Amino acid sequence: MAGIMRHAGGARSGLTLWLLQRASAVWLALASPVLLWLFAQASSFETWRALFVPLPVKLGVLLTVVALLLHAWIGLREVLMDYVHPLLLRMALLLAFGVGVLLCLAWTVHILWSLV
Amino acid sequence: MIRSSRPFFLNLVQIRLPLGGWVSILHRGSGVVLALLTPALLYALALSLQSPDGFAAVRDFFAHGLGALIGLGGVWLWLHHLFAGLRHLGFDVGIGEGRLAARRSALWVLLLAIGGTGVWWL
Repeated sequence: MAGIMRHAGGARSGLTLWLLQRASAVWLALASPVLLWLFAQASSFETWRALFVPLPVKLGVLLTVVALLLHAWIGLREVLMDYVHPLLLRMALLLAFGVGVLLCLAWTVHILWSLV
Repeated sequence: MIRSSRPFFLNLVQIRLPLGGWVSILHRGSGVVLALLTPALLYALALSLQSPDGFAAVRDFFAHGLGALIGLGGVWLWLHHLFAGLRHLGFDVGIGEGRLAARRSALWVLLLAIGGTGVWWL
């Protein structure tokens, strides 16, 4: 790490994001059948709610939401780079999506950990 | 001139050529819509876990009319994005890169996403 300066938006961060996009994609693909199974258990409020009480389920859902948000933000960034050329507008939208992602993350933690 | 001198069956191929393009455009479009729908998904999750009334409200919303249509649309977008994404991951590691294989897998992506949505509906 020592002596390495990284520039914002440099080529290296692009490769990291490219890799993260694929890693999160694989996680989400593997999580999809599990989520499907989870939805199939939603026969009543009590059983649905009880599903989310154990800590491993909370952590698993949180990890999946993190993968989803990361995947979504990188994907939106890709689209912005293709279609939004004014740099200031692009950065403003990127930042707005970033704030949205962080809010969604905090909201997810709140939703999950308010269940006891 | 060049076009008219080609055998006829290549025209059929030309018609099918945009298939991969459709899958690709839909992959991007579905990704944008799904990304922007994430807060709505979290809202539904929060409401469904809040109280029996909230759970019933979410279930009823997706059970009829516009809500059912939105739910089915969401499932289709998710499935299309998933299958198209798996196809692209295959390309990343060199699977299915051939012209015919890519075209065939594009068709499979479209059919599986629509078929999967149908199964969800039933």
